[in-house]
Amino acid sequence: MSNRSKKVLTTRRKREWGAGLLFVSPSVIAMACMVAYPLVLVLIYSFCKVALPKFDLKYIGFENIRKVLTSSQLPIVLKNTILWTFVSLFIRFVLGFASALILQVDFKGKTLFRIITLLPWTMPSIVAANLWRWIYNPDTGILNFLVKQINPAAATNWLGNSSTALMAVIISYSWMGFPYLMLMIVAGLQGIPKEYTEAARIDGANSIQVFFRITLPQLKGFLLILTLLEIISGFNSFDLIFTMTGGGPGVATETVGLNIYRMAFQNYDFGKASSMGILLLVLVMIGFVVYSLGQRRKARRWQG
Amino acid sequence: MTMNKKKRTLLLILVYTLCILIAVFALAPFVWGISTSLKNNTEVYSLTPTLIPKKMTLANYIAVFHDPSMMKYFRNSLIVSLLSTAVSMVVALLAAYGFSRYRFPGRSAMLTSVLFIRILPRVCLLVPFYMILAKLKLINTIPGLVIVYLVVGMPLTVWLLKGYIDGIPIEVEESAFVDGCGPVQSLIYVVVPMVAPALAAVAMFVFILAWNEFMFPLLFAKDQACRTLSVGLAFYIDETGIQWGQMMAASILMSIPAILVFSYAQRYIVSGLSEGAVKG
Repeated sequence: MSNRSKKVLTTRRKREWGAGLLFVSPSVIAMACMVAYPLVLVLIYSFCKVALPKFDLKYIGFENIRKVLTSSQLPIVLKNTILWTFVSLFIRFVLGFASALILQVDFKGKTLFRIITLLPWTMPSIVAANLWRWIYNPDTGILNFLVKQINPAAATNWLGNSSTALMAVIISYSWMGFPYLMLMIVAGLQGIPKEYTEAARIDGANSIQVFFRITLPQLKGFLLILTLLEIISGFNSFDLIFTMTGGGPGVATETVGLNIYRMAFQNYDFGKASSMGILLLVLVMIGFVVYSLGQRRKARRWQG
Repeated sequence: MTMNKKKRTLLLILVYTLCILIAVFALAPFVWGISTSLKNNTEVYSLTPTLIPKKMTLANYIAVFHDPSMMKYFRNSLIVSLLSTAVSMVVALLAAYGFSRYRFPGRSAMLTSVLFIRILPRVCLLVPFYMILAKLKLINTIPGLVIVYLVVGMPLTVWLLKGYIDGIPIEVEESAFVDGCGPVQSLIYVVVPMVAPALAAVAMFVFILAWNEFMFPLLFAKDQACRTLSVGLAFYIDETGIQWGQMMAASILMSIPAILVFSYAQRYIVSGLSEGAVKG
């Protein structure tokens, strides 16, 4: 290649760089200001005492993290978060999988079923919260009315009773979230080549065998990442608990998300809230590192 | 043959039973809400509740429409959602085109960072978002919310559009370049018409994101002047007193745009979400 054409090429490439960067710059700048910079701030805050209203910082080392980890509320909050995330995930997966499999069968009313099951997902979370608050209402709620028909003693203040509140909110959360899992699982099922299941059928496998030997293994990677994302959204969720119980009664439904909100915007302890946020972030990152390491090992196994 | 037929009937019975159970669970809260919203106050609090109102009335809906603060929240929600949609569409389209058509240093790192937003616990960002918006004097303003939704929506908007633009062969654009078009013209006149359905999906996704969102406006738009419908509904009881009939009516009204848009766009939104999940 002559010197000249090389030079033309590099200037062209440079111009390409410039144009490309120009196109992506609005989004990248927004990301830098609203994601990268904030993350650095959270990291700094978590080692500082933050004095409002001017956000004056005073370095106090691991004091915030120590306070978070030794707080007497932490075990309850963690227990609630884990129950909230995993119990609802289980219910959503069962309902989502059942609906997705139903949609694989041809029957009359399939479209109607699809529309009906999608409905809870389309609802704004605040509307879902209001609908369920009305159902759980202790005096005039329909749930207590129905329960009283069977056993008058079992009627209770579902959201105000610390032994039922968490489960009541979990049911609402599962109601709102299962259609999303249904849609994702349907999308995942469509990705499995028909030849696989047909071949298994010809070899004499029944539906249950096909499901456990072909469908599930084929979906494994997809389900794993879906589970991870859903666990994160479980940690994140705030709307339903905030509006339905406000974390109460007492701390019976207080989860990590609500706890961070309370530290920051009710106690105005931004340092402590930040260190709790960082701990949560580290937890999520560990999950993803483990996941991607697993994926890499699997890829290597397939290649070797 | 008979064996197969028997099996098929059994399967159908199983499917229908499950179907009805799941459908009732999915539908019941909504139907109950609609029923309540159409009742008058005595019937709402009646000790023997009825599914179909004895005396149907639109009084609750009329009351909501005559409530000036609810109408204000409605207007705020509409403005925030429309603005967020417009800003997100432009920014995401430019980014998707840049990522799809150009190679530049840091490209893949930036693309991964966009996806990273998706796995970031949002509650972690509450404090820094608040501080940055406070510094920019955007707390209690509509542009503040628009910026937040732009960033929160980016993983889906950018990746979905990028996927679509990747699918358009470069040759289509090359003829435009030969005709003397620059990249911006080519983007507007060649690419945009071809990705119109994806662009529509992105628009609807952002609209609904902004329409439904509760946590961010609760914290960043506390003022009544810029309060959105979601926050207004959460505090309905504190503001208007315990009026379950009216509250159900307002809730049903708020869910209508979401239901309409979602049922239209769910195919695209799902493909965007699952693509992000698979590639991420």
